[in-house]
Amino acid sequence: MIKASNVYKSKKLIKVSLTYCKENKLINSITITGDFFLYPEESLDHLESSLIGMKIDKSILRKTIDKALEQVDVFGFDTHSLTDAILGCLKPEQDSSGRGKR
Amino acid sequence: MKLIFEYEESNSGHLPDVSDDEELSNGQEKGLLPGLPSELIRKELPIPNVSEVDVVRHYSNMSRKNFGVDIGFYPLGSCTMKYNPKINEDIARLEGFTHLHPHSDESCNQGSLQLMWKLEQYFNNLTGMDAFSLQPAAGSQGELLGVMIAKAYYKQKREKRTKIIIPDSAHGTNPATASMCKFETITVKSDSRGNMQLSDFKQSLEEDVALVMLTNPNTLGLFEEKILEISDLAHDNGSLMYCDGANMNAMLGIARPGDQGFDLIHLNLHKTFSTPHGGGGPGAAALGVKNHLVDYLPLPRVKNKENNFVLDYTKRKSVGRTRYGYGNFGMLVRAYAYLMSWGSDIRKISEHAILNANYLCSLLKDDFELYYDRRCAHEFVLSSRNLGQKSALNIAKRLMDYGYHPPTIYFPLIVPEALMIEPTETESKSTLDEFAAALKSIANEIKEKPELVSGAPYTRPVGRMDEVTAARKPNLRWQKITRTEDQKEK
Repeated sequence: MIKASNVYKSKKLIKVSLTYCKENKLINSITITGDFFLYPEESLDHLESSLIGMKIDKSILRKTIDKALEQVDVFGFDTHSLTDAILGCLKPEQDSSGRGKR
Repeated sequence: MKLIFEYEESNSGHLPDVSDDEELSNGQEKGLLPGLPSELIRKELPIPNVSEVDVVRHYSNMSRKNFGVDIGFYPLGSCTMKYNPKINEDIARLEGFTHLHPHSDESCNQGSLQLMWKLEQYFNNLTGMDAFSLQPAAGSQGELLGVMIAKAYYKQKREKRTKIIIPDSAHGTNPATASMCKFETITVKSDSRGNMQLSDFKQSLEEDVALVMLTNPNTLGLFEEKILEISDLAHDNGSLMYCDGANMNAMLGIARPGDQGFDLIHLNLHKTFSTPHGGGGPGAAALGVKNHLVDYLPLPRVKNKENNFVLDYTKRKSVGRTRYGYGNFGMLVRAYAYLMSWGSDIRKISEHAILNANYLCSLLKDDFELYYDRRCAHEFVLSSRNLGQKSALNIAKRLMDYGYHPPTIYFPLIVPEALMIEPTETESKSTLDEFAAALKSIANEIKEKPELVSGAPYTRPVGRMDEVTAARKPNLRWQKITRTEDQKEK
C-alpha cells in the first residue's frame, strides 16, 4: 500500500491524501481537503467513499466524480480539476503525508 | 412600536428612484448603475425608504426593549441564565479561529484541534466520563445522541430493551427524546423529599428497561440522595444510567456524575459553561460516555498522537454524525476560555451558585411555600398556592414591572403554582435582596390589590397577552397597518 498526497490549485486549493495498492492502483482510502465549498456538506463524505475501490485512471475517476457530484453545488473545483488532483498523487515526487481513511 | 416598514411615506426620498429612469432600464451607463445588463436592473426597490438617522434610532430603540442577562437579573429556573464573560467574545474573535475553513487540512488547524482535545479532557475530569463528543448543536441534540447510542448499544448486544425510566420531575425533553427514538417512557413518582421514589423505581425496573434518565440535581434543585443505590440497581438490571447535565452548574468540582454511576451525560455549554443562550443563535452541547460506549460516538474524533492532533474517522460502531463539521466551534472556544479563566478554582462556581440559591430561598420561604424543605443546590422551587389560583402567572407578569425577568413557572409539574428560581453564582447579595423584596411586595399586592397584579404588566411594550391564543394561532406575518383619517388625527 502506498501513501501519497497532492496539492492542486484549482479555483480553490485542493489537497488529496490517499493510500492505494501499488499493483492495481485501486484507491484504499482518500481524504479531500481544501478551502472549497460543497452543498450539501455531507456530499464530501459521499464523494470520498464513492472513490474508494476505484482505479486511479482518468476516465474512471471522471465518471465516478461526475456521478457523486450530481445534485451537489460545488464552488472551487470541478470534475476535471479533482481528477487531475488525484492523478497527481501518482507522481513519484509527491510527499507521503497521506492520512487515514475518512 | 412601529416596524421599519411602517415609517410614514413623508420620510421618503433617501433612495434614488430607478423605476422612472428609462436610460437605466435600458441598461445604459448612468450614475450608480454603470453598465448593468437591463435584465438585472430592478424596476422596484422594496426596502424601507428611511434615512440613516431613522434606521439607527429605530434599531437602537428596539434593542432597548429587549431583556437579557446584560440588562438585569434573570432568575429563570433550570436554564442557568448566567453572565457571558466578555473576554470569551474577544477570544472567539481571534482570526485563527474565525478564519477556519470546515474542509481545511488538519495540518492547518492544529491549534483548534488542540483546543477541542483539551476541552474534552477537561470535561472528562469534571464529569468522571472517559470521552466526549463536542458535535451536538444543542442540549436536546446531545440528549438525542445519547439515547441513539443507548439504542445502538443494545442492538449490538442483541438485547431487546424498549423502555426508559424517567422521574416525574424531569425536563420535558427527556420523554420527548425517548419517544423520538421509539422508546416507551415509564414515569416514576417523587417522594416526600423530592427524590425519585425508590420503591416505585424498583417496581418499574423491568428486564426491558434500556435507560434510567435522571437530572442530578433534579429540577427541584435537590440532589438525588440515593443515586448510588439507583445506579447499582440499574446496572444489576443491565440498564444504562443517563444523566441530563442541565444542572451541572451545581456540581462543578464538587461531585462527578461518572462517580455516581452514570454511563452517559450531556452538558449544555450555554448553561454551565457560559456560552450565550440560544434565542435562535448557535447552541452547543457535549455528550460524554464511559469506556464501554466510546466506539458509538459520532465521527470524527480528535486524537492526540504525540502532540500532533488528528481527526480520526475510523468507523467502529459510530451512530453517525449529528452535525456536519466539528460542532458549533465558536461555542467550544467560549467554553474553553471560561474554563481557563477559572482554572483550579472552578469549584467556586458551584459553591457560589449553591450559596446564592440557599440565601434567596431563606429570604422567601416564609412568604411562599417551600414544597420540599431541604437544603437546595443551585435552584429552588417555591409554591404560591397560598396566594390563590393563577398566582404564579400573576407574580411572573408583575415582576416585569419591577424590572426583573420572571422565574420559570408551573414547572416542575409536581409543585402547584410553582415558581422555579435559579439566581446563579454571578449575582450579588444586594441583587438577591432587591429581588426578594420585589417578590414580597408582589405577594402583599396580591392580598391588598389583587386586580393590580392580575392586570400586569403595565410598563412593557406589550401588556398581558392571551398566551394560549398566541401559541395556538400565532400571527407571524407582518401586515401593514392602515390607519383611518380619524386615527391619524388622534
